[in-house]
Amino acid sequence: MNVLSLYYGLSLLVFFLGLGGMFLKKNLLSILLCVELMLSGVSLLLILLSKSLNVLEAQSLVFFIIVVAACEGAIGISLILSLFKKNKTIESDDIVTM
Amino acid sequence: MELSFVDLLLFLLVLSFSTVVVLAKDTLVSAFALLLTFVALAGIFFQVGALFLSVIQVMVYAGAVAILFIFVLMLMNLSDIKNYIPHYNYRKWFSFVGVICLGFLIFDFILAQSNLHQDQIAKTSLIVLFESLFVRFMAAFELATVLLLAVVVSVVFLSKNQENLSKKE
Amino acid sequence: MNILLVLLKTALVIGIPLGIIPLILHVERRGAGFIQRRLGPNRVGPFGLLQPLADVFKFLFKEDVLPSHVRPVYYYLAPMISLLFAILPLAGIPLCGKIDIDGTLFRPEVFHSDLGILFIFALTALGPYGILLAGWSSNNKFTVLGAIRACAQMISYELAMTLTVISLILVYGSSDIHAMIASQGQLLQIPFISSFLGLPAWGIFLQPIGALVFLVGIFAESNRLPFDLAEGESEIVAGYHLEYSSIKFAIFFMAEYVHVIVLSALYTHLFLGGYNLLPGADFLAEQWPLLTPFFEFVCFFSKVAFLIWLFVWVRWSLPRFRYDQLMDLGWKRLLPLALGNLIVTTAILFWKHSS
Repeated sequence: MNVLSLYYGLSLLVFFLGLGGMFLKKNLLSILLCVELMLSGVSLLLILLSKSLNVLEAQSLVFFIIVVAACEGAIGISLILSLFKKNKTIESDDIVTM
Repeated sequence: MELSFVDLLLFLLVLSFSTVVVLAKDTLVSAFALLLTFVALAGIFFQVGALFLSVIQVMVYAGAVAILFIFVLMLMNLSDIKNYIPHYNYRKWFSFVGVICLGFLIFDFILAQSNLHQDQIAKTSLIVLFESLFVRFMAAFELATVLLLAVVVSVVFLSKNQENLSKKE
Repeated sequence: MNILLVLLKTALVIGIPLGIIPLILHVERRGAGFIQRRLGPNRVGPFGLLQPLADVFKFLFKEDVLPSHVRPVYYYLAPMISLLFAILPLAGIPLCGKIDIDGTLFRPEVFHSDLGILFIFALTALGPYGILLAGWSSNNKFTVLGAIRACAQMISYELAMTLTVISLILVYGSSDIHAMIASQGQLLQIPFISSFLGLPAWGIFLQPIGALVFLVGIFAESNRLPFDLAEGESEIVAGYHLEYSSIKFAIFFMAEYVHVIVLSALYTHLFLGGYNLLPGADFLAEQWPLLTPFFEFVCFFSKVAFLIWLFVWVRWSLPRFRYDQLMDLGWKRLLPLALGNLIVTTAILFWKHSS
């Protein structure tokens, strides 16, 4: 088996683990962690594709994905903190009103 | 390219750490496991030949984003909130993941008949990568810096005490 | 043969810091005594040279206590991770110049790539995690606070240091450490007065503000005075290593000294000319050209030793910063300085390039 096909499988696994975690977790910050996991899975896939298809621009795209993921993580955290100050809990079951 | 021991080890590390991220009851344990996932993913990037991106992954993701998550979890004590996954959903979800992986293995077997994968994985030359990044995508790069500035300003604004802001009006 | 070489270099990378630590311990305690007008330890061996050995024996034979309220796995893991991430940046730092034996190039660093400095900075960015894990695993609110303060300090100063290094990469034109040191060997070219100064183009002359910012940054990165709030005994109940005893506590202090060594070595390579030969060794290397790597190593090590003495000197000369003063310095003064340095450097390089 090729090493690249092993890693393609890994990127799929990581993405779907993140997706499942996002659906199943109750803590809002855990959901955010699983979103970061999904983004990492996608970056891995892009880098593997850049190697398989000999396309260098995919690596630049991964650079931008990393930047955007960091920004989105930061803003997500500050939004969650504002929610926490308002509702005194960050369980997704208990936060039902805006 | 043939599998070597390091490839297999990195595969197992990423797999186990991402499983810990999803399955851990304590959110701080899943944050630390996410950090280790990032470091192991950087190792995979390095094995595949993308050196610059592995370094950027460690510096940005493992060095900044993960620390941010861990700080918030520690300071606001948000990790001892109930975080269980109801028992019956495990089977449904993991069987779904198993079906996807089986589908992928079949797809890959069909794909491996053609000569899509390279024989040798060469390390990407930095200069060629930067030429693509800074010359072709210069507009996107500048927009990314504007995005970062906007994020910094908005995070500072969102973290301020909201009652004080509304009192001023 | 290749594997053996890598293993030898890895053994050197692990052995050299751990071997220098007893020397630093001795220099620190005798140096502290010298600055404070008293004798340091002088009982154990001649001039107290065996005192670090006595310290190591004490730490090894103390009882290894596992408090009942800590999380066991992370408690044992934290000192190991601290020491690991302290030693790792040494993998990218060369000890002497490239050696050319009959056409094959022998590199004195464990790992070499195009991005020399970025690799080292990525590993330095992982430094705070040992401290975080230590503070959290102790299951103690005070240690968590101490750990968070120490980590926040480390990442804030890391930012200013990285910006400084960016302007340095711009000036020297490459991020490979060997290329940077080679360009530091040239003569400094100031437009009107370079003919009679004869100074080498060291980083400290080309980027004085950057050198200052980086120097302050390495004091903060290694949690040394005047930035050692997390270990300040009189303040927050000794910070993140409160619940640690005997050998684990010693490992935390070894990790701090390894940080000192690694960051001094980095500073030497970036700003003080690295392993370039000093004027006396220059003459000696012409007599025996085969021994040039040895002379380069000696020059490099003497510069690093000077920086380590500077660490000890500053520790016993300056009072400790308060936490808000520390954060103020890092974000409100050093970061704008580093950014201004970058802008000015870019402007000067652009003007030079266009003319």
